Amino acid sequence: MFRQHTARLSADEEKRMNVAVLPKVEWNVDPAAWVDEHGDYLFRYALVRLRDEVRAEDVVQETLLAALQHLDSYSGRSTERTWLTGILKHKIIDQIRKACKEVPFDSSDTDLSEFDPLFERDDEWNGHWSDTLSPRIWQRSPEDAVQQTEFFGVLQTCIGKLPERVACVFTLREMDELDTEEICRMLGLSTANFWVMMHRARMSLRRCIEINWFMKAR
Amino acid sequence: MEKVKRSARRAILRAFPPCREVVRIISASLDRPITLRERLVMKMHLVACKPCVRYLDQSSFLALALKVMDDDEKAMLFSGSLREETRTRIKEMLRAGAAGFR
Repeated sequence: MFRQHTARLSADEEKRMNVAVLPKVEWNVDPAAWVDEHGDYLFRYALVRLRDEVRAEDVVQETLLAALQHLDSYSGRSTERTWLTGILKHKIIDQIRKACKEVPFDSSDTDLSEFDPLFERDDEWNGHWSDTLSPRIWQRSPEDAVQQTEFFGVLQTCIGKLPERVACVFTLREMDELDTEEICRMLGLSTANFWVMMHRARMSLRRCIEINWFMKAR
Repeated sequence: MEKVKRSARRAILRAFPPCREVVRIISASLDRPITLRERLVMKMHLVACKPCVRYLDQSSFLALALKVMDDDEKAMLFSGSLREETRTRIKEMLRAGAAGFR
């Protein structure tokens, strides 16, 4: 319908339309305003994944400068924030890839011995959960907004306590939902090591959250 | 009755690998398709072991908490903000860049 209509426009009319549309797109964008509108959002997005304020700030800066350079690629079909987040995602993954190339694989990342005490018992049930360190019943579940904010604060802190690579693997998989193969290729991991690291992240996070959120009296 | 149940639970726990190994299978079940043998071990063990049921539930809860929300919601819940000097610096760079285009 629309196409038929425009097909009938004369060259002159078409020119007028372009003139009317183009400047509007170009001059209405104020890149400096991105900082106030989306800066904190992008920063948090990066911080929880990179766990380092300086690196997170750097990657936000890189993202906004790249966005400015590729302003013409912004189609207006998605919101400004979605578009910027898309660029940021790529920058973060680049960062993680680079950081992991610099650090050689550390065998301690796949070492599960720190959890041995959880399964130590003096009785015939050695190898099963220790009575004092076994998973408790989680009485509180984060229901309202205030509790959710608190819960995510604890989760963020707990992710920050994981070894660097373990945290990378876990957030790429669970937050960004990248494929196992993709993550392994990116970080140069075997799938066996990937699974051990996911297990390690779960064991640590579960316990950290239990201690710092579920066992804390309000 | 309770006694029978308890002894049955104990028998199951004794017949299959201990919690230390089962938690790894539970984790694996969240990451990849597990083998038939692993599934059998896990299911039987979970019948008899409450802490491992909690481990599974809580691990699933964690994964869900991160997955169900879209990025916007998550970013609201996580904390942190750009420092003032960084904010100013980026703005200046963007203004300079934008001026360069015109």
